[in-house]
Amino acid sequence: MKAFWGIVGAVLARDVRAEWRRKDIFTTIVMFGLLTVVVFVFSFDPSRHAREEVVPGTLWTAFFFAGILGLNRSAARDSQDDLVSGLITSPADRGALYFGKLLAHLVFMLVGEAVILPLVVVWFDLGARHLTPSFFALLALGTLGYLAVGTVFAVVGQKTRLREVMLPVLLLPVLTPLLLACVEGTTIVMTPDTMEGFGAWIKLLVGFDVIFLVTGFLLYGFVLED
Amino acid sequence: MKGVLEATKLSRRYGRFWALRDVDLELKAGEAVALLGANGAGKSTLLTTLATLARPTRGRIEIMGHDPGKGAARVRAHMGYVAHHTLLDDALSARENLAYYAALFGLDDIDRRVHQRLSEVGLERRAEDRVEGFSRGMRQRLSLARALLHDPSLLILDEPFTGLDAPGCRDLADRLREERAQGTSIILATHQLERVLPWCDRVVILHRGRKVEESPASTYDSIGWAGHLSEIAADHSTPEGVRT
Repeated sequence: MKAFWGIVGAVLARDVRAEWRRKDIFTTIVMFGLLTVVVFVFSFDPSRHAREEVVPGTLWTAFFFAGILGLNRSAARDSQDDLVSGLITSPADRGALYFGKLLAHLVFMLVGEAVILPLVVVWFDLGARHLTPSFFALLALGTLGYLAVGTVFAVVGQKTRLREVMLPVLLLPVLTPLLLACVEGTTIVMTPDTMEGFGAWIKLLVGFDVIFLVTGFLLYGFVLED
Repeated sequence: MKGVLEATKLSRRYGRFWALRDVDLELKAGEAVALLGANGAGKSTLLTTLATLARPTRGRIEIMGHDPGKGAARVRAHMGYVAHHTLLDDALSARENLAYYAALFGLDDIDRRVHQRLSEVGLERRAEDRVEGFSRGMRQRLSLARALLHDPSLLILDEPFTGLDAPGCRDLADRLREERAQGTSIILATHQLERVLPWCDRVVILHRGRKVEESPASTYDSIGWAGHLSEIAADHSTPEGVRT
């Protein structure tokens, strides 16, 4: 067990350290996320639309598409200098490699979200009533499920000829239930005086996360090596 | 001598193209074998298959008594691999790269091992420098240190002299000779046979994915091996032509 978490820690530390020095994944996520938010702000005037109509779509479109670019960048970096072969030729537990990568992606994504979210808060005038623990639980579960799938598919995408194009093509159909739960859950949080139905979306997210964390843990080795 | 590597009828196909066909190969403890052949002869395919990076389409491999198809992790723990690429992260320092691989291999006493390997390849004074600032020769030496970190019984090297200047080639050849003297089995593909002939036991020549010749390295000291390679290519101009 100690060896397992040692590998998780080594992969996480390498990815975070390399990103701290390069900052290319972080820059990609933040720049694309901010641009998406700005486009939505100009398309839907916040003063003329109810928050529950605009914020969920803006937020999750920004996070998901920025995340795709970040995942692609992360996988491309591992292909550069063939770092993937370094992982494959090591005897390291493939499940540990998966969790190491997943946690690294989680760090990149959460930092990116921490920069993008304040902009959404300011432009859409969100207050303490909206930024509740329920909202952050939704954000955390949505991001975790997204990356549980994305970490596996980013490796698959890099092995195809189309690379950058392949990841969203593979990822978005699988993520449909997650995307639905995230948007609908956020709509409920943004709607005044009601939390009806929120629990069901959270349950869906928890189920999705558990299923795809287990699937990723079991399949990552096959995906990496084939 | 104990067998470290045994490949039987090893074949690998990419689509309809057979990159490797029915190659038999045996390597005993402490032996060194050089793979020779023109570009596209199947050297890299053979080495990536032995390194467990690709699965054979047909045939059997046994490394240190283990079948990689059934226990790849046990095989990988005994094997060091140096590829065309260095498998190093440019953004990390030499020490950080080795410490990362040491953790992947589940090694103990990481600091001591890393320091020792860096000293052996003459990079201890550059340990904290990022790899992005290293020359090709330094990267290759670090890549060798990475491959040797876990004291492998078998070292697999694919064109290790590529891009190195003359002193770099000499240093690397000396380092490999030392490893072989310490009992590590080595299989390497190279176009620079003169660098490895003095310490290799055998030379295996591949042509169009087939093993066409296997002889003691001393044989090639007395003949011009480059000319000999051309002769072999001419003799085996048809895919079926295999000399035994």
